[in-house]
Amino acid sequence: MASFFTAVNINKSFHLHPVLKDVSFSLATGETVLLFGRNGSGKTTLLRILAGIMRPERGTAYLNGSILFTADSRWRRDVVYLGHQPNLYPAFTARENLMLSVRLRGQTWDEETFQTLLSGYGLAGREEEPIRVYSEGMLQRLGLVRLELASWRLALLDEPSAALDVDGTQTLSDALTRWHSQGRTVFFTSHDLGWGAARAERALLLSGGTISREAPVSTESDLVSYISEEE
Amino acid sequence: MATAWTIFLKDLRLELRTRESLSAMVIFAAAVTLLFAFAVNAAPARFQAFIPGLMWMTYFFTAVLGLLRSFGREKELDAYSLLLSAPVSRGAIYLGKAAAFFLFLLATQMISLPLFGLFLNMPLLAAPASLALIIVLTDLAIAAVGTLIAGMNLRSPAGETLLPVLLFPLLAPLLIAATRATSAALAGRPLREWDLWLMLMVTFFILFALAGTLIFDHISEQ
Repeated sequence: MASFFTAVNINKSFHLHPVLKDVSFSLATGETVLLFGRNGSGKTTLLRILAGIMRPERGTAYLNGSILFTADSRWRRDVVYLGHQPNLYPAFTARENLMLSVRLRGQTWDEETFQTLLSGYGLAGREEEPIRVYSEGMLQRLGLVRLELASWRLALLDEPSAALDVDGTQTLSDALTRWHSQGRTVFFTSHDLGWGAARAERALLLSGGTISREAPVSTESDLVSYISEEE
Repeated sequence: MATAWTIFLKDLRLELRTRESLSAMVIFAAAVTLLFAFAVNAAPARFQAFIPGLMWMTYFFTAVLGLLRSFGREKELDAYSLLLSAPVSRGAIYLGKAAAFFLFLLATQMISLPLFGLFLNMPLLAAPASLALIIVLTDLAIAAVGTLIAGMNLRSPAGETLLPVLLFPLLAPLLIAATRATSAALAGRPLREWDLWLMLMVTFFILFALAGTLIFDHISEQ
């Protein structure tokens, strides 16, 4: 498959401690790829750099041949990010938060789509409540609704199944399948390797600050053995 | 400008919803004013010359409090990442946040400034137009500098401690200018005697607003 996204030699340190060391990899169009590794291996840092939230010390990335991390913000139109937290304002209602998100992306608000998505993610009737009253799982669902409302080609998801119940995890799995069929690329992390292995076509192991292994996903035990071999 | 307007309205709505910044800023300003009133009560006439300075020191710390709250909101649920990952100019984020903060600071002063007249005999009505001009220009400059430094510190673990430490040396010339201009205006001196201080305020505002718009992209990322 042709490379849709390429990261080249990405480096990042915190307090002189290198977290990412020349991280390079590629993603193909429509591919769903799992990034896994131990706690503190730099998965979140890598996703935040690719989303434009953090700045790499060295290295760059290309999306369809266009260079990222430039002052021109247009490249971020094709990329969405959902972190450990939903990246929304607690004092705002679900509707206000999502309207803000849509407006920031230069899109137009579609009430019908909003209502359909709310129902799909089990949040129907809760759109006028300030989200500070939401549970962790509800916040995660709302974060996913934010993603669904945006138009994007690459989604960067950090532990998207965390805090979700069985229903929520199933809805997320369905969304991943739908996005894959739409030719959208998803790069996600998960500590639930069983769930991650079932969703991804390929897995990248981040260890020692670099992508130390790149392999097609088969089972959870394969992924666990990869981590063990790195020790 | 559409993005700056969206951010401005967002901050305004958040404040109307929570009233966290404005109430904290007004209460703090009122409490410090009352404290000064008790402190200078023994010899009010002797301290009259210091009142404009006390007023601007009060509003400096009030501004720090407001900035901490304004950017503190962005940290909850990592909401700031929504702004940073959006396909918008970071300069527009800076302008929107600075404009909203300017409005909060101005509103705080409209509510708390009469206390300086009431408890410290500050002749607020001696030159109301001049005083209003000085306040607006100083607030614009404080908002321009403060938003830039607060944005820079947002991702720093010690950001809340660093904000006043970094802000005071940067704002010292502005606070001196505001104090001197306020003293001169309230003493009824003609504008030509203190217009230099106004020019300093305008220069401060233009320089930092420009710098903030241009470099916010670099300083807002971790």
